[in-house]
Amino acid sequence: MAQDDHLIELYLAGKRIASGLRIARPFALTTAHALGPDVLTTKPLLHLRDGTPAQILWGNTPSDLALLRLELNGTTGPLATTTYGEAQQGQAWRATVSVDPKPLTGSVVEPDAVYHDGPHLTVKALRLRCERVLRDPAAYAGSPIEETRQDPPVVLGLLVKPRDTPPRESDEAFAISVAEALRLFDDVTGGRKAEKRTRANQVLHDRGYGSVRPRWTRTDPNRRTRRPSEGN
Amino acid sequence: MHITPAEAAIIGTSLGATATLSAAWITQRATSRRERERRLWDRRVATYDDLMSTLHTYAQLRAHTRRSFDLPELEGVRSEALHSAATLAARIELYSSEPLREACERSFDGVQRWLLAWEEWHEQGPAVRLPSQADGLWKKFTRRVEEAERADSELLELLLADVHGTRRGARRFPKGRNRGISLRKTTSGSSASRRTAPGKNAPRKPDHD
Repeated sequence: MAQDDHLIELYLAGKRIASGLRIARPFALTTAHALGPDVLTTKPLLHLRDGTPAQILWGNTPSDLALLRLELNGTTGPLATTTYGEAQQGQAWRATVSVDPKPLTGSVVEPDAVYHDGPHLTVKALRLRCERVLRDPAAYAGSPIEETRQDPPVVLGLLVKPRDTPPRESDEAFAISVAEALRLFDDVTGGRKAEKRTRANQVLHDRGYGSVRPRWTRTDPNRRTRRPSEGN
Repeated sequence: MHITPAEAAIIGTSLGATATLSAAWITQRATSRRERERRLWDRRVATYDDLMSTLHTYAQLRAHTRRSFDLPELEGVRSEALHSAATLAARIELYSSEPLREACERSFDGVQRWLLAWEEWHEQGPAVRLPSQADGLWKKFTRRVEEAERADSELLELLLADVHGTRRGARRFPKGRNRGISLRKTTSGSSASRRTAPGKNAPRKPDHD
C-alpha cells in the first residue's frame, strides 16, 4: 500500500479539481475553495484517481473545509499505518504534495490560532511559517501536512487558504488539524467516537498489536514514532 | 279532625303521585347528567386522540430533522403546526383543565421554537451551515429540540394521568401506564375548572344521583 494513502486526489468529470486528506476509511477532507460555491451547492459526485466515488457531505467556507464520504463498497482495504498527530509550537512540517517541484516545508508558529471568528462559528487552525515566500498561498491548499522526521507519516492537518482575502504574497500558511475537523463535523462523523476509537488503537499500537486504522498520537517533535513491528 | 276514607285515599294517591314524579324527575336528571358527562368525555378523548397523533407526528419530524439535518416542506409544516396548535389548544381549553391547556401551549410553542431555530440554521446557506455543536445555530436547534421533548413529555404525562388516573405511589408515566392502573369510567368532578393530574389523587365526593 502506498505510503501516502492518506492523500487523495479528486476528479470531477475526469478533471482533477482538488487534493485532500483521508481521515478515516469512509471520510475525507478537502478544501471548500477548491471545490467552489457551485460544486458545494449542487454536490455532484466526485471520484478518486482509482474511480472510487466520493460524495460531498458538507462544505463550510468559513473553515475552508469540505467533508466527503467515500463509497467504498468493501473493495478497499484499511488504511496503512498513517497516524494523526497534534502539532506543537516550533515543530517542523512538510506538505505531502506541492504545486512546485521543490517540497514545501516550514515550522508551526501557533498550534491554536483563530482562523475564523464569526457570530456562530469559531475555527481554530495551525498557523505555519513556510521556508519560502509563497506567491499564491491558496494554490498550496488541499495538501496534507505531516511531520518531517516520521516514517510512516504523522499527519498534522490539511492546508487551507489564507485568512486574508484576497490572498497576498506571504510566508504564512494555515492548516486545519484533524481534531478540529472532527469537532466541526462531529454530528456527521461521530467525532467523539472516532477520537475514542483512534485513541483505543493507539493503546493497541503501544502494546505491539499494530494498527490498521488511523490512530491518534500526541507527538513529541524529538521522538520518532515506533513502527508497529518494533513493539515496545 | 276526621278524615274520611275518601279523603285518605285522595291524600295517599297524591303523595304516591308526588313521590313517583319526584323519583322520575331525579332519575331523569341523573340520566341527563350522565349523558352530558359521557358526551363531554367522548369529546375530550377525541381531542386527546388528535393531540397524541399531532404530538407523534411532530416528534417523528423532529427526530428525522435531527438525524438527517433536513426538513422537507418547511412552510407547509409550519402552517400546519400553527393551525393544529390553535385548534387543539381551543378544544383542550373547552374540554380539559388549565394545567393541561398550559402544557399544550408549551408543547406547541416548543414546536414553533425548534422549527424557527432550524430555519435560522438552514438560512446560513449550504456552504456555511454545519450540523455540529461547533455551529452556534445548530447547537441552538438541538437545545430547542431537547426543550420541545421535555415539553412533550410533560404534556403526555398530564394527558395520560387525566385519561388513566394516577395511583398513590405509582411510578411516573409512561413507565407505569399499563401496570394495574384502572381506567376511570366517569369524569365526574374533573370538569374544565378543576385541576387534572393532582386532582385525580384526591378522594372524590360521591355522586348524588
